[in-house]
Amino acid sequence: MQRMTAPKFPRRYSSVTTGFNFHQIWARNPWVVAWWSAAFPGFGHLLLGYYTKGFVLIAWEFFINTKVNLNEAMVYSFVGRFEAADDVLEPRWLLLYIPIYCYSIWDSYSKTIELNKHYLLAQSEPEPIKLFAMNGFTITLLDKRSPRRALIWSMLFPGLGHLYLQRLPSGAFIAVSCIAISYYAHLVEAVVLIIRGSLEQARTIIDPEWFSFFPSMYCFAAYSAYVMAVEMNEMYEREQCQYFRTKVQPPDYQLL
Amino acid sequence: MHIIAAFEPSDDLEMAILALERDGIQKHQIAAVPMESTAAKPSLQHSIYRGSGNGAFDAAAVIGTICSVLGASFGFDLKWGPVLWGLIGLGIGALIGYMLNKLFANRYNEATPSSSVKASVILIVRCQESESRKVSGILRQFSAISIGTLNGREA
Repeated sequence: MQRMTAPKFPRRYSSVTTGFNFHQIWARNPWVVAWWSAAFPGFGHLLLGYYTKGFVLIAWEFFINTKVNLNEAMVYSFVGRFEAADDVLEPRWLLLYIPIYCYSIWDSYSKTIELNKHYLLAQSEPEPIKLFAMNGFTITLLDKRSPRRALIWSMLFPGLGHLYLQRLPSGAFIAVSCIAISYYAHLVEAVVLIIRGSLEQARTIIDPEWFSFFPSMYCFAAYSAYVMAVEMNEMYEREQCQYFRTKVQPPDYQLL
Repeated sequence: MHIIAAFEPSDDLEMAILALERDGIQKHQIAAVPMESTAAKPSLQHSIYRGSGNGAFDAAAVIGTICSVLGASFGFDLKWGPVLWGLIGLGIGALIGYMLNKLFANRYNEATPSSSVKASVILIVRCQESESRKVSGILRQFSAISIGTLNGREA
């Protein structure tokens, strides 16, 4: 809606500022995006900014994975107990997993290339970048953010890095997901036990099916928080330079 | 005369301009020149198919995640358990990814701009000799990186 007020509707632009979210695209490596989709279907789409699709895919992954017991089977396979893996897999759901898994990888790969082209074209002309948005509930200000601080917050608890960068939808989604995972995996209890030094007890209390969601979730949240902060600063600098070029360069300025 | 200062793009820079205007420097006496980096830009093909991001960080995150998942899985059979082995895996994997990138990426990636080169803005303020101390004081206060003066002769 903000775009309608611009004097001429731009064909291509690469960021949108709303009260709830600063949304931005940039040139990404399609293999890295495809890898995130492979680690956890939906992450590639979240990284690209397709939140709706990403949320649906992640919710589906939680559902189907716990139905199939895929994570548990994966843990057993990695340590070589193939019969145990075979036993926990649920044949009634198993095959439904595969097509959507493949689709999410392929789709995020090809969308990255599309968006990269769009981004490069949008960048080649002066595009409108909205610095500030405010509504009855909240405020978003395109500002400089420290990538390292975003990384540290995200590593303390996934989702906080996104919230620090004013990404309310993805931040809230990741935080809520991690709270659910921690609860069902008995992660918090295990951490307390580890701090107290009872490693054996901690190992047995953890639920392998739920805990195996955590590493990729954790790494993805930290990774995306860091790269988003870097790109957000880049966008900030572009906006400010555009402003200086048009508004703080008097036409009759004489240097000598 | 002119006071010339280099800034990083930031809110401080705009605050400096505001402070100057409040202290009686006219708008037409101030000019800001954003400096463009001379580092070679990656080709369009490279940007489309490899992105323009930080390859070392990408590699560290990808390999780190793989090793973290593997570490957590193996950890269920090891004494220290999945949480600690997951974290150990993450640390080792991130290090491996970073080093692999440093070893192999440089060969075909030499043209990418150095990330240590910061974008900067040069601010030029025309003022009377008597105002120069005040102006450079304001610029210093709003974290100018460096400040210089240019003494033009009045015609």
